[in-house]
Formats: sequence, C-alpha cells, structure tokens
Amino acid sequence: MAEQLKDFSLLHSDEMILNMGPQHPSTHGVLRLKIHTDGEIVSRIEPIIGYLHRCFEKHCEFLTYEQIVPFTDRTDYLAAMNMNDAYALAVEKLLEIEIPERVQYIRVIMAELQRIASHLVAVGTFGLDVGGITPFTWTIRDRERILDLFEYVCGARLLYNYIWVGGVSHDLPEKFIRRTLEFLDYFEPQIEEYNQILTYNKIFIERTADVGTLTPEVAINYGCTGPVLRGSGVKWDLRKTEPYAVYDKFDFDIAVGDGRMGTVGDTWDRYFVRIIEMKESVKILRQALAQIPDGDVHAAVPKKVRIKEGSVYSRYESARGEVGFYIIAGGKDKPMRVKMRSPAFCNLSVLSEIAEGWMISDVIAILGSLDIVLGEIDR
Amino acid sequence: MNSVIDSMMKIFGSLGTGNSALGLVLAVVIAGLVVFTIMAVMAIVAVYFERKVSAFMQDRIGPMEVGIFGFKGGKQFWGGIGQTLADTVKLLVKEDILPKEADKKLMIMAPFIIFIASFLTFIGVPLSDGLVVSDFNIGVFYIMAAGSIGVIGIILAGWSSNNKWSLYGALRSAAQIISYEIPIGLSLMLVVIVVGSLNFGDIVAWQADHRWFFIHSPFAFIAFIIYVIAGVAETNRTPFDIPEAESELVAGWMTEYSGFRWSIFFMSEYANVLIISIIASIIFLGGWLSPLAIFGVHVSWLEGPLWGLFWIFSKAVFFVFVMMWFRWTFPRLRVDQLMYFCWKVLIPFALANLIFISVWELIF
Amino acid sequence: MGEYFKNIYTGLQSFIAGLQLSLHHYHSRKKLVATLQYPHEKWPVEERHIGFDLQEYNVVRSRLHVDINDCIGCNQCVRACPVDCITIESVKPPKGSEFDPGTTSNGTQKRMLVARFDIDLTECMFCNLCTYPCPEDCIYMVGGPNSAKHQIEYEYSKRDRKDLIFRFANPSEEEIIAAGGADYLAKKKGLPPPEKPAAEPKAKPKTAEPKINYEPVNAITDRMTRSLAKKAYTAAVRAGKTASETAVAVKQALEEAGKYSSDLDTVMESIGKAELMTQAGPAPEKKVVEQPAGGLDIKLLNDLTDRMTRGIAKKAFMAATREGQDAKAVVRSIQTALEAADKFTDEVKAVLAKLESPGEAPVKPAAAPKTAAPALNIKVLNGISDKMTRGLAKKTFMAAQRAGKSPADIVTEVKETLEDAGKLTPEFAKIIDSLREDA
Repeated sequence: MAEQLKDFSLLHSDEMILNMGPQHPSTHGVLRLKIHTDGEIVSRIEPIIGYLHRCFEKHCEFLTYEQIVPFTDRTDYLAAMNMNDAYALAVEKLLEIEIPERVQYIRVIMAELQRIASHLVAVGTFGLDVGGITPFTWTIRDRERILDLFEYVCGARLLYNYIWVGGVSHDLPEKFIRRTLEFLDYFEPQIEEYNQILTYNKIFIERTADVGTLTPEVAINYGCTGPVLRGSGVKWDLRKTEPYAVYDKFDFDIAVGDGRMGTVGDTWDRYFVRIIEMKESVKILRQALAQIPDGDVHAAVPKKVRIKEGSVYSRYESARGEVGFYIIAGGKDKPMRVKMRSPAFCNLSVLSEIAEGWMISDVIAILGSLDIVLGEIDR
Repeated sequence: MNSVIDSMMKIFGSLGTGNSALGLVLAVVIAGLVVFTIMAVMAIVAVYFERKVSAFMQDRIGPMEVGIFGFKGGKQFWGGIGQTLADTVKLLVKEDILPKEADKKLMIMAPFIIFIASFLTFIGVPLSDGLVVSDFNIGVFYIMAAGSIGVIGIILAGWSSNNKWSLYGALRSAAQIISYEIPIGLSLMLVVIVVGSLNFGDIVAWQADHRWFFIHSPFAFIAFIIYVIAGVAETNRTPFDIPEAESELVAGWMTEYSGFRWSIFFMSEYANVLIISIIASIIFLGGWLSPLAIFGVHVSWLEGPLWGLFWIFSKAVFFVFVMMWFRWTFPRLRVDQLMYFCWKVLIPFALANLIFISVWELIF
Repeated sequence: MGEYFKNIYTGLQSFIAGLQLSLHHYHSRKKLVATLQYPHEKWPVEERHIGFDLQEYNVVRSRLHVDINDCIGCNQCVRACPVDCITIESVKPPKGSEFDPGTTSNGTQKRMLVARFDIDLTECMFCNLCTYPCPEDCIYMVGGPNSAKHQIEYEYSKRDRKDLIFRFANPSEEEIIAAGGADYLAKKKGLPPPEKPAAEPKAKPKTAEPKINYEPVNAITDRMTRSLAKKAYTAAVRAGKTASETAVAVKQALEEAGKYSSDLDTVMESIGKAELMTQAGPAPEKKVVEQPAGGLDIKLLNDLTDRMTRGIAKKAFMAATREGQDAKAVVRSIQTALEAADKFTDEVKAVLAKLESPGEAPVKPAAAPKTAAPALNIKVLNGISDKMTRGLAKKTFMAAQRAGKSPADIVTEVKETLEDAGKLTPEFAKIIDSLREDA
C-alpha cells in the first residue's frame, strides 16, 4: 500500500502548453495565443502577434497624403470608413482647413453605419465563439445591407477609399437617405431578435456573466478604449467627451456596462455595450439624415496636399475604440512619419490580465468580447 | 419472442438443409447488412436534413446545386438532394491521413469501436412490431450497455491522435457521456418501474393498453424531458457539443481524422441520433402505435407492422428535428456547467421522479 | 434553493423564447431567406431591398478600362496609383517629324504615341484614385455611369494570372517606328539600336487624320459648355455630318445638358458656316485611307445568327475600319474573310447588303474627297463558279487593292495568281477582264 502511494507521487503533473492559432477558428485572424493550461484551467496566456504585419507606418512615408487613404482601409478592414475618417481628420487638422458641413454630416452618417456594421460582426462572431451559429448568419445578413448602402455610395463594399482629405469622393446618391431610413426601420426590430436568441439566452448568460471581469482601473491602466472600456462602466466616448465633426449636434447617450447579469465589466457587459451602441448609432443616424444640409462635397478638397512643417495627433472614436494618427509632416507631399494608435492592440493587451485563471472556453469568449481585428493590431 | 433472426433462421431451416449453423450465419449476415444499410442511409439523409433545417433557420437555403432526379437549384427542400451523395463520394476518395507521431494501430481501430457500439445498439432496437434483429428480454438494459461502449473509441481516438486538441476533446467526451448515462438510465427506469419489464415489446404493449408515457403522469413527462435533454448530450450535439466545440477545440477528438475514417465517425454519430430518437419514441411516444391511439380511436388499417415502421420513423424524425432545432438555436455550455447541469439538475430531478412515480403507482 | 429553481425557470423561459424564434425563421423561410443564388441570380432582386438598379449607381468599381485612343500619355494616373500597377511607355516623335498621333475625343492634340499601357489587375486595389486626375477621362472603372461603353464584369476571373495584365495600347511596330520609336522598339526587344538611315525610309507617316477645325467652338467662353460643345462637335464631324447638321447636333447636345443660351447663337452660326476639317494631312491619296467608315454600323452584324460567322465578320469589320477603308471596302473585306472561312451564305449576303447601303446614315461626308483610284467592283468576281478559285481571286484582288495598285495591275495580278495556281480557265479570265470594264 505504501509502495503504491509512493509510485503515485512519482506521477508528477505539469502544465501543458497549448498553441492556439495562428490557424484556429476563434482567434479572429492570425493571432497566436500561447496558453499554459492546467487541465482545463488556463494559468498563463501569451498573445503573439505580427503574423499580419504589412509595414503600414513605414509604407506611409513613401506615399502621398492622398495615397495613404486606401491603405488606412486595410488596417481595420471591418471598420474601414472609420479609419478613412480618422486619417482624414488628422491631415485636415494639419492642413487647418475648414470642412463643409455637408461633408461633416456625410462622414458622421458613414461612420455610424460602419459602427453598426462592425458591431454586427462583433456580436455575430461572439455568438460563434460561444457556440451559437445562427445569430452569426443573421448579423452578417444585416451587415450585407449596410455594405449595399456603402456600395451604393462609393462603389466598394469593404475597402472604400471614400473619405478623402478635405471631403469625400462622391456626393450621396439621390435615394440614399430614403434607403438608409428604410434600412434603419428594418434594422431596429432585428436587434430585438439578436437579444432574444443570444443576449438573454440562459446558456449565453451563464457563459459570459461574471466571466473575465475587467475593472475600470485595469482598463484605464492598460489604455483600453471603446466598448471594452465602456463595458467596465467608464463613461468615455470621444464623440461626447471630445466632439469632433458635428457630433455635438446630436442627442445620444454613451453606452456603459452596468453589470446587469453579473459584475460590472464582465464579458456580458462588454458584449451588451455593443448592442446598445448599435441602438444609439441608429438614433444618431436618424438625426443626421434629417438635418443634413446641401453643399459641395469637393469644395475643400485640396488640389495637392503639401504640408510644410508640423506634427499633429488626432484622436477618433472608431468602432473598436480610440484611433489615433500622429503625423509629422516633412515639407513634401509625403509625410515624414505616420504613427497609428491601434485600439485593438491596447484592448488585446489586457487579455492575459483578465483571462488567466479561467477555462479554455472562457478564454475564447473573453477574446471574442474584446473584438480584435488583426489587420489593425499588426498594421 | 419473434425477432428477425429467429424468423430468418426458421425460414432457412425450412429450406431443407436442416443445417442450423449455416442458417444462423446467413441470418446474421443479412441482418447485419440491413442494419448497416439503415445506418448509412440515415447518415446521408440526416446530413441533408440537418443542412436544410439549419439553412432555413439561418435565413439561408442550404445545398441546392447538386440535385438528382433531374431538378436542381431553386429554394425547394429537395433542391440539392444529391449533395450528400457527392460528399460521401468525396469522403471515400479523400486522402486518409495518419499523423507521423500518432499511435497508428489505435488510431485505425478507434473509429471501428465507435461504429461497433452503435451497430450493436441497433441490434436491440425494434423498428416495428416484431421487426427487431434480436428481441432481448432485457432490451432497455442492453441498449444502455451497448451504447456506452462508444466512449472507449472516443478516448482511443483522442489519445492516439497525439494532438492536444484531440486529447481535450476525448477527455471532455468521456466525462460527458459517462455522466449523462445516469439521467438517461434513471428516466428509463421510471418506465420500467411502471411496466415491470425491460422488453421493448412489453413497454409498447403496456402503452397500447393504458396510455402513452409522456402523458402518463407529470413525473413521466418530466422523465421524458430529461431523457430528451440527456439524449442530446449523449450524442454530443449542441448545446452539449463540448467534445467537438469547433470554436474552442478545432474539432475535438476528430481533429486528426479525415476521409473514410472520419466518415465512420460521422455515420456513427447520426446512427446514435437515430437510436436515441427511436428509443424516445418507443418508450415515451407509443412506438409503433398510431397517434390516433392517444384518443382511444383504433383504425385497423392504420396498424400492422408496415404502418408501425412508418409511425416509429415519423416519431423518430420529429425527435431528430428537435435535436437539430436545439443545435441551431443554443450556444454551447462550458465543461463545468455541463457537469453542473447533469449532476445538480437532471439527476436530482430524475431521482425525485423515481420516488414520486413509485408513490403514484401505489396510489393509482 | 429559491435561486436554484429561479435559474431553472428563467433558463427554460429563455430557451423557449429562442426556440420560438428559430422555428419562426424556419417556417417563414420563403420570406426571410436572404441568399442570392450567385451563378443563377446575378444581381439582387429589387423586391427584397437588397440591391439596387444599375442606373442608380453613381459609381462602380468593377475593372479598370482605358480608351486608348483618347490617352495622351500624360502619366497622371501612374503618379496617382498607390500600388504602381499602371505602366505607361510613350514614344515622342522627334522634332520635325511628320508623324501625327491624332486627337482625342475631347479634341486635344496628342503629342506622343502611347506604345505601352499596361494595367496589372493582380496588383490593383480598386481605390479608384487613378480615374480622377485623368484630363481626358479615358481611364475609368467599367459599368455604372460607363455602362454604355462597358457592362459590369462580375467575374473577370481568368484561368491564368498573366491574363489579368491588361494591355491596352497595341500599336504596330511600323507605327512605333513611324513615331520615331525605333530605339524604343529595339530596347524592348533587347537588340542594339538600329542604324539611323535604315529606319529613315520607313519613317513616313502612315496615319494622318484630317484635323478638325475647332475655331468656331473655341469661341464659347464658359469652360463646361465649351467642353460639352467640343465633344458633340467632334462626334458630329467624325460621323461625317455637314456643317449645318453639325451645328444642329451641337445645339441639341447643349440644350440637353441645359447649357444652351441665346448668346451661343452666333457661335452656332459660325459652326454652320465653318470649314469643318482643315486638311492638314500630307498626300491626297492618303486621305482616302483615312476616311472613317462613315455611317457603317457594326450592330447590323448582330443580325447574323451563326456565332462563328458573326465573330469573323466583326473581326473583319473592325480590321477594315481601323485601316480606314470606306464602306464598300469594309463590306468587301468582310465578305472575303467569310468566304475564306467558308461561311458565306445568303443570310450573310443580305446582312452585308444592308450594311453597305444604309438608308439613314450618310456614307460619306460631303467634304470628303472622292476615292482616288477608280474602284473596281469585287462583286464581279462572284461570277466565278468554282469556290476555291473565287476565294483565291478575291484575296489577291483585295491584297492588290490594299497595296494601292492601279486597276490594270490588279487585274493582271489576279490573273497571274490564278494561273500559278492552275485555276485560270478562259471563262474565268473573261470574268476577271470584265472587272476593268465594269470600273
């Protein structure tokens, strides 16, 4: 008996290292997670990035200011309009040009539509991560309609190159406003369907509530922004706190997590903030579509962007959080240095903080709630 | 006892040779082929059914290009009926990969163990009155026992693949299947207590005489619900598909399998779905009795072995649909929640049920 | 304990809600299905409010196309492209060269010959940036507003990656050499540059379009109006309309665009009186070649039912018009081509007859000079009964005519060829002789 026990103690247990990704169904691209597991429990996570690095920042130094716009599309490909907008905002700040009001409104409309489209992907893929496949197809179906609207406006469905420095490439087509309103009327009841099949499903709540709680302090320390930060209950939205474009003219609320199903800042809150934000975006869109003034969208487009000296940091609330562009102009038609602050990068960095100690399935759910886009993290 | 084997042996015996050993071999081979055919056809049909059901629930239209019988395309239910046949051909001619570091013998063996488990289970499953390969006295018990062999195959498959994802899937699966045998057994035991026999024929005969079990008493209804839920878990389907969990474990214990061997897994999975559905319809929904019998109406031309086959399959298809309906509606549970659900919800309820049904039987 | 049962209750509630919803979707699939069956349905149907009418698009990003005849080789698109997928190589005629690269449809005089205009669509990222700076609007995405010129190509997929490199400029070697690009050509082929004198004799102008006289139109002050007017004017002149007709066409175009005002009346008057073309070309007989196939409409060939026949006919038509042959010659060359392919049927004959004698369109502009050489009627050769012989005779005839030989030479040449082939019978010789008499 004693001998047997001694033998048993020789069976030492050890941690197993699991490589999740870069080819894995739920890492949302080519992220690699090195996971140390103790049974199902995850004791350490190391995110390894860089599989999609395309030298965006260095590349910008060889392109004229106008030519950079299509490349900003390719950073966050799920919210390309937002990236266009963020970049254009930075260059306009550097150029110190006044943008026509119509252009401002068009940009707000595009940004909010894009925010909805991006959140639809986030909600759908999050459902996919926790095992519900049906919500994903429904959200993608509705996103298609937004992409149709974008195609109607600028001819492209994913990578638009629509928002230019100083304006937009095309004015809105005639029936765009009517079609967008039609879409909004269609879309609002759909949110209730997502809630019914996913948000308030008991299994879903069990999987996400109280899981991977991100406290406001940790979120702020890590530089999290966007829905991830707001999910922790921090009322911080650049559209409200530092209004750019014409956002100060609209009436909307900042969606924050309130710990309805568990603690504040858990995975469910981060998910639900996106649902509320879609509703708020619909609100903004309705106001913007009603107020949009007339004007020439090309009035302020400079013939050739040439910036003498100077630098600028401009921040912008994209679907994933704060996108920052730091541009140093070198006196030529090309920038000397472009630095992009990627919101998803900061949001991803918090993963090992909040997901350690949870199970493998929870890591997937937490990662899904951070809603990362690798194109933007790796740039 | 009138089983298919018995009657075939009788026929072969009467053919003159009198050699009962030859008759037995012939009878076994023929019965085996029939069961195999049912399993294969079930897999093909169920895959198509599942694709279409999931597609319609997700606002898609599913396969619609590979039609046979001359029609193709369109949004009809049968628009792409040839798709699964094409997929079968694809699976059979696909390269069969054995990883270099895998335990090759076990890896080759594992699918067949799983297949044998569902094959053996089928032997005891009656498809109509008297239409059963072998009519056991202890039919319910036999099916529970034969069905649990499959988990050995799953563990072997997960271990021999030498892949971490497979290992996780196998261990999860083992824990899950062993746990969920208990609520299944307890809910079936309720019926056995009432009927007093483990034989399927007796159970159906009892229902013909009295009433169908799902409306027998509130406790029997709860047992029915528990059986369906645990049955879904037993077949590793969503929301209990944590062994496969494609978003977590890639494909669980099937990760390293491909081609023919993978298709055997697939076939066994759908055979298990069919077995669970048939047993649910036999035990709780009156088996081969016509649905009119609930209302006490007996139409003679709606009864008989062939009609019995029809009724049993209609009921089974309903259960298969319910399983698919679950799958395309719910997200997936976590491992610990799965265990919580089994041990802290289903088993207490099933045990309480047993006590209450005993009291019920004493009173009425 | 209360919590435990509440959990089970809320769980059941939410499950039933979810199951209801998915069953609802299963049942009302006829209404809710959003799939587009791609190869069968190419554009979303309107009633589901997924897609939109083609006309409503104000921009489409389908594929880049270049109207190479309008390209002036300014390299603006190359500079705009962020991924460098456009390659332009142009040949500038040396000073004093008689080579004329022609004008664009906006009326801009080209300064150089675009020898190479490649777009590598494997690299293109469809940002549309190249289309904006083009001064002649000749590079554009097909479809949408340009759908009159090109339909949208849904899948311009190719089997080979090399096929996605579109070569728009395709000048012949003679043209490049004529434009003084002998060095360029040699470099491209990797040969040492040819000796100058060797290239000199060849360097005579092959193409010389009659210049269009833009003076009257240039009198318009407003820029937009002027460019519109110019476009209409060019089109009208090219179509061979007379001065007064041109004036009417220009006026109409401007009125349609809502740009016409009464102070333009004088301009229209001057157009009506103006000499439309200033004959700047060198030799008079060259102009014959240069005359565009006035009024000939390739669409008439669509009447041909057989696909192969149509293809051959169209090819021949295009080749002939590019060479600048007149209507009759075009028809003749189509006929020859079809006969060579053994596709010449009665149906084709009827179509060709229609093509040759269009009721509505004027064949030649009034200002156009007459054919220099008296045209021989190739139809006479149709009297030759043997098919092979007829084909041979026609081929020789066409070749000789194209070479600009005199009627007598043509007849002798045809005869000689037939004799060489051993096909010349006295009967045929008589027919061939009758060619000359007919002329």
